[in-house]
Amino acid sequence: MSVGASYVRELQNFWAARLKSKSELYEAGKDLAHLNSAYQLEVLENQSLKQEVDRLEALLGLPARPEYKYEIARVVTRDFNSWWQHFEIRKGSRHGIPVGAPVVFSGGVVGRIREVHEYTSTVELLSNSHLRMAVVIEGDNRPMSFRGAGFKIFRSPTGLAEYVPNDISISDPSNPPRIVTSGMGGVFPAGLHIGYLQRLRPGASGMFQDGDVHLEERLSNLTEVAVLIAIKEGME
Amino acid sequence: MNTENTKKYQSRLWIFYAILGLLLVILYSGLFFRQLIESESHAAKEKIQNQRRILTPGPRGNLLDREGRVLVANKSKFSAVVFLSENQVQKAFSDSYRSMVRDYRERGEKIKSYSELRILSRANVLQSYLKGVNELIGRHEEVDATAITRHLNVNPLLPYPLIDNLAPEEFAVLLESLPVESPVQVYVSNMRHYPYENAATHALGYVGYSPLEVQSDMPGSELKTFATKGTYGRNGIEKRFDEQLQGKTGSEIWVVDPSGYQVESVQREYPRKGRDIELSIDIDLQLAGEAGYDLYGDKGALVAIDIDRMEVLAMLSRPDYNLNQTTPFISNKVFKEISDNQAWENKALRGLYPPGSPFKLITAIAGLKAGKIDDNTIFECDGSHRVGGRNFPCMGRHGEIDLRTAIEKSCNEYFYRVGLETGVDNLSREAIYLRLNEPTHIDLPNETRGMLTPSREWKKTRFGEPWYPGDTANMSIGQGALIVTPLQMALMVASVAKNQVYSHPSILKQSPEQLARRPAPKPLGLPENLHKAIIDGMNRVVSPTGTARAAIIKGVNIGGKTGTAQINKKDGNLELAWFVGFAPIEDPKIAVVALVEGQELNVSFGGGRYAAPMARYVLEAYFDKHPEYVNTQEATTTAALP
Amino acid sequence: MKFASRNRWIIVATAHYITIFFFTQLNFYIAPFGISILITGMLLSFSSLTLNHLQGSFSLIPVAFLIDTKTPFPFGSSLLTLIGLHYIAVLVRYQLRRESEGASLATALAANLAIYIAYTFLAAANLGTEGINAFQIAMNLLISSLLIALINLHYQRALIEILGIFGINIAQEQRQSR
Repeated sequence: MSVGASYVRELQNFWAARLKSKSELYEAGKDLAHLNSAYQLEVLENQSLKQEVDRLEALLGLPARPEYKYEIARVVTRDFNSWWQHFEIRKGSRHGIPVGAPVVFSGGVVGRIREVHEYTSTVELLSNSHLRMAVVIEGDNRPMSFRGAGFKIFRSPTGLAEYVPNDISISDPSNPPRIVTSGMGGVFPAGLHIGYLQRLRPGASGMFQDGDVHLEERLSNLTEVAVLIAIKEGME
Repeated sequence: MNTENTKKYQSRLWIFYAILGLLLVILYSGLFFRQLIESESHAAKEKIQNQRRILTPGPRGNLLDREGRVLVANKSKFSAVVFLSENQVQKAFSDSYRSMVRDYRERGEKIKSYSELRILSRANVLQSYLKGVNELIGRHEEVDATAITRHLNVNPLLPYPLIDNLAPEEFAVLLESLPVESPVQVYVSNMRHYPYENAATHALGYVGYSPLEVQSDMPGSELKTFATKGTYGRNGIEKRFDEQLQGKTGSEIWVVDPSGYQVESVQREYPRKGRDIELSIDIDLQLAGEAGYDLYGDKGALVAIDIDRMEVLAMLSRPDYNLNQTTPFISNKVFKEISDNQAWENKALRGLYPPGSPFKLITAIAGLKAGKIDDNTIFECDGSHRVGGRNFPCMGRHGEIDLRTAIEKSCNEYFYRVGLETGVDNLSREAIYLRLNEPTHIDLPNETRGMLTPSREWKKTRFGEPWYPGDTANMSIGQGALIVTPLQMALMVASVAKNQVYSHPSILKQSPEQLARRPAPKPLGLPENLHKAIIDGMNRVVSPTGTARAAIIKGVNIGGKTGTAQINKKDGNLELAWFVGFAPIEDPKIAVVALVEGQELNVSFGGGRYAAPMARYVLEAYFDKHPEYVNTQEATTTAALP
Repeated sequence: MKFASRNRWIIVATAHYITIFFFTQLNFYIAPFGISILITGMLLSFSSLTLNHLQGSFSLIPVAFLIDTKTPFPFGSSLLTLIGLHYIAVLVRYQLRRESEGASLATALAANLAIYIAYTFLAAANLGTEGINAFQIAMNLLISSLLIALINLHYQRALIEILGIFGINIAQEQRQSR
């Protein structure tokens, strides 16, 4: 039923687009072409960077990181209420989506697959208190814990960082420490954006601090996400 | 009839509305109350019977060296633990127990001990949790049934540790893989960490883990309290400054169910870290001393002091032990090893040794101050001196010899003569004036009070015997009943160097205010020319012809005195190698004392060969950091005072 | 027409589904504001007060299953909650003039409140208490209640009319049953 609803929404969008004037569409097409050429350039740059990273990793003898393939999926429902924050996507076991797979979008981590059905899957949003992951502060290698801390009315989703080392402080509130995935936990690849560290307070053990994490505002109105599916060795 | 009915129903509806309205009012006023007023009117809410308090120690402050480098810090210890109070665990415990009882009955076996069965069933449950963790991080750990019982008896509210030493990567894996609601979680506690391991072992000291002392001003003092272990300084600075280093204990008050397991946390005070302490130790000098000691000795002590500030720059005692072995606890094996090595003692302030030849400096000072000799007095050395029918030997035949040369060559006969002419009373008085009969009052615990400067009265009281001239001869070369600590000798050489008497050294870096408050040292009382004669002699000791040529440093004039003292043992003598020194001659800044205990009986063991080179390591490290005291033009050490 | 009358729960369940469909759409668009509307109480109110207890249960079971597939609680939690509430409402309705619009609204609001409370307990038990934000629950409950107060009457009337199309005259049946 909710899948049906999402198709209806797409139909709405389609007709909304059909009703736009030709010159508007022409302008949009031109902008896209510009963007496209810019992206092509970046892709080339990324390729050479990736080769460089591979070379350095081989040089340092680092263990091979799991490779991922992307499965793009549309968001069907958003179920962000007072108790949990889930959404449903229009891809399921038929598309090879496994439980626990990380879900990302252009702004970083979205969450993790919680349930998989034949054609749909439920994604646990980053702000869900049930989701926990090992993160690091960008440029630091000490693992910390990140947990969702829910949604507030008219506010962006929030999270909680635990085990923040005591020497970390927010010296410049306009440029707070950025939290990214650590890659150490084995589920999420390293370096994906999570959010910014906001307020710090002493933690339970006295050895660490706890901090609020300001998550990406776009998380609450996603329409399309990518599921990362680990490619097992020898499967390629 | 119909209207009557409607009225009846209408009134019932109103009652229904009223109930609904009331429910909503309760809900929202409860919310309002929780959000706004709760904090003020929380006090009388809960009863003591259903609350428990858990105390968590605050992390200790760090110990820093004089340049702010961390000598002792806290290291977080990540563990995988099971929260035993979780319903799931409780249920698993009782299920496992019941199924084991059933199995026994089915097999028709008699159960010997129900309590043992209970222990076993718990161990099985925890092993199954541990298996899950093992699988995640690729380990093969096993649970210890007795440890579980002990834990449940002592601290049922605290989580039970399955694996105590997770690597950061394992911590990350568990964090991401363990469900949030799982009774198995990662847990962090802290332990002492010593980045320099064996360096300054005894000065820094170690900590022990024992039940937290509960401060009465903490909330919930009337409640039943459980505490994780706190850390207490057992030795060295950790002990002496324990109060400052102690963090503030955090407390958390829990509502518990009738069986004593946690239900809800109602009040929480976070622990806070203790104060950092900045020590006077310079880790560069300390490490240099350690390196020198590794090469030239096994047993003994080394002390370096900043003379002007009266601060200890380095202090080591051997044998030592790796401080990291003492944390998170000292295992029986390690304890035995340290005890067998006799490594607990800080020999720098607890080791008592005859001072040997360095005491000749005091004999000279006493002679000079008593006017029995002057800087030009010459005695003849023919290899031995006869006192009271006994021959007192010298190490060589020095012929006609003056004070400077006598110090340089460490001529025993010269100092027998000086001592005998000066008399025991003057010798004792001078040694006491230099505070050799009292502790230095350094701010470290357990300094010995056993040092001894013998005197006529002492011998009379102690042995009921008169003082003989032979005793004086022995004393004038630092032998006999005379015993001192290496730290005292460091102060003695600083005093001789500066013609002032020093005491009360500190191991803490002194603030300018503290330095200003420090009482001025009393004068040693040698006229300038006589003092210069002694310093000249000491300078010659650290010259290519002197006994401490192994301590020579290019561009720095060093004053020193070596010594080889004997300790009488049952089957012979054990030799001690001493070096006491200071530098630069022109304006003494640093005093160093090195002492090496001989290991084999009746084996000659010279201070020049063993103690002097290890002192050189420290002096080199010091002058590397203070090039302003190094004379780059002057490459020799034979120069006298400017 | 007898078939329709006997199986009126199908018509009601379908209407409930369509309503849920619209509210799922609405929730999709208002999710970015952190607001989520729950109107299950309103559906329950109609099923419990208008249909007999069996028909009411039948109409609610598919709704409960649909909700169960969406909640992270053990499957069947919503079913038990809804059926439980349904029978409480059925018991209460004998004390009220059930065709009264006021009774319907009161039941809808009470049921919605009960569902909020039940979900909060379920969430605390299944998901832990950390993620529960009392203020937000109260705000969402308030908004949901206001919305129910606005549309409940229309929903009831519309459903009665739809049933009327199938020849089921609820008002007449209720008069007769008295």
